[in-house]
Amino acid sequence: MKPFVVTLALVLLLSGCGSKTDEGTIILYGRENNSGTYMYFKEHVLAKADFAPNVQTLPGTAAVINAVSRDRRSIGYGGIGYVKGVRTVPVKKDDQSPAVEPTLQNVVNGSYPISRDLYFYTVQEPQGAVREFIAWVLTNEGQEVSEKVGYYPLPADRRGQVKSSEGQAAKKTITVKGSDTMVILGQRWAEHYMAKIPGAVVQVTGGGSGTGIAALINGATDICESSRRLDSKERAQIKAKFGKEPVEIPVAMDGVAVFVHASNPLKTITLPELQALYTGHIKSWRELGSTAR
Amino acid sequence: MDQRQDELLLLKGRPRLIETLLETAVRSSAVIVIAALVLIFVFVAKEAIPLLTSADVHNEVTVWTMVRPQESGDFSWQPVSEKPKYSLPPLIVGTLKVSIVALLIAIPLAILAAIYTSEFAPQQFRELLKPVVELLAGMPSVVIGFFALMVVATWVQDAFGLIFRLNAITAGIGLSLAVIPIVYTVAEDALSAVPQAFRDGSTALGANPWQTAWRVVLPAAMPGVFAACVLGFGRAIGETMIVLMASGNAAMMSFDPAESFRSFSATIAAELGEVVYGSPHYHVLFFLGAFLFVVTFLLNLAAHWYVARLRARLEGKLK
Repeated sequence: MKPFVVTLALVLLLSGCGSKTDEGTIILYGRENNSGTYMYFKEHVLAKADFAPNVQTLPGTAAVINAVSRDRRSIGYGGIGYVKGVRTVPVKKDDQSPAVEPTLQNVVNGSYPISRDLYFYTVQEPQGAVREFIAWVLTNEGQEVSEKVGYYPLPADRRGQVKSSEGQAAKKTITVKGSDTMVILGQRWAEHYMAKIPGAVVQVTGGGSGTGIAALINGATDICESSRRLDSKERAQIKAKFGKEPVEIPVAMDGVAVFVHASNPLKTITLPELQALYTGHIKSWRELGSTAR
Repeated sequence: MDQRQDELLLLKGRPRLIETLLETAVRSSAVIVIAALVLIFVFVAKEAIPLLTSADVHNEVTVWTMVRPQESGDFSWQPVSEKPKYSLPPLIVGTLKVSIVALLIAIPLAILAAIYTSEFAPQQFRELLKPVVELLAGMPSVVIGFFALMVVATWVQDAFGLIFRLNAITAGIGLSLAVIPIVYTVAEDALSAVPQAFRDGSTALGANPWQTAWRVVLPAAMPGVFAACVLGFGRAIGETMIVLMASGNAAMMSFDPAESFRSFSATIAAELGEVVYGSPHYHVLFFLGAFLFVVTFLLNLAAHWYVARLRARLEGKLK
């Protein structure tokens, strides 16, 4: 009885899978819905429409890149800092626009269509040790770190909301929590800062922008790292709980790179095409080829 | 003579106090374990109940909207959306899909391995084999998940020519690595516990070792073997990390094991860290947790009843 059932099941399994090789199908990878990148992509590329149900979501940009690098039919998106072993595709805003590579210059001058600021959030004007740390992050020295990690420094005219308040830094462990896109960046900042300031302790953890924001609302972190802006609901929650507006500090820039398997011949992709892909309206590479040429 | 007096002394006076203490300690350990379990369930249920009672939550989601098709006519799990959609069917299908694949692989392998170990393996080899398989149980599931994601996924895709690299077969194979040691250990214990007289009797009647193992020892150990399978199923539907990493987490309403899926446990793991405390999404995730808890509990209850019946039949109390 038992061997029979097992054989039958295996036969069913195998016959179910055999006939489905179709080189044309596009495999879509994306981020889990607790990720700032997910929210950013949904708002700026999908125009707030829902992702198609067959978009596979993975925990972390590194996992997405890993998956895409092993899957010839796939496409994915994620923070530029992680891109390795896959081919980034230049993005066009629409059919008429030029194709733009996600490079430092293009992100900083705003010509790359899907780039964004990365933020620190605090519940009130940062004080003491927290203020010192943020002020340092915004110095040239801090911004160079972000460039080394693969993100982009803020242009000089957009920095400097936070001035160091010399000498009054109370000794304190600073906790930083949030965006997985920013977690490596935050850790590098922390390492450099701790090496520079003896006795300073900065603890950085990830979990997703949403996790960081929730922690900020619950008072569980000093600084929240977020790859998206707080929405009005979250602002209202902080206001209601602490009686103060959250403070938003842009600390770096990031482009959302679109990438495919190294062997994929795709030359460029437009934002409308990306939207059609991720909402499930384009399903095969052939369809994409005919619209992208 | 002296020794005897010592022994008598041991039974009197001081040792009594120690015994009482020990007994209390043992009893409170049991109580603590049960209390922890009850408290966890109470906590999960408490956070899930607003889904049934709160009007605020009902503006966004009710149990009814979780089971019937969405307005668009299909089932979709899109909790972060202008209009959040929480459909259970894709998650139920996904969870069952991967559990079934995992058990189809794990149960035959584990039981055959257990039969080999208890009936056929030379003594020395047996003493090596069991700890080695049990070592698998101690392997962190994130490691197995990573292995499935990086290695198994490529094998499976190449072998079957699949479209989805991450799918229920890949995740099921990964999951089976976590299930095998549990089923194997419990089944092996059950087989080894069958009295030697059964084997001797069978051999004396002229059965060969294989016939003895398959027709005498295995049926005699069936209650334990069945309990092993149920434990394995419990592990399969509850396992999180392997599924989170190797399933692709796409909430598709598809029974095809070659397609991606999203399981209950992976959904909770991926989304719970992010939800706003007290939001409808938060309560829905706890509802999923409570649901998983209840399903596992009922399953174990049913299995317990069935095992008792099997045992009774074996002992001839039931026809």
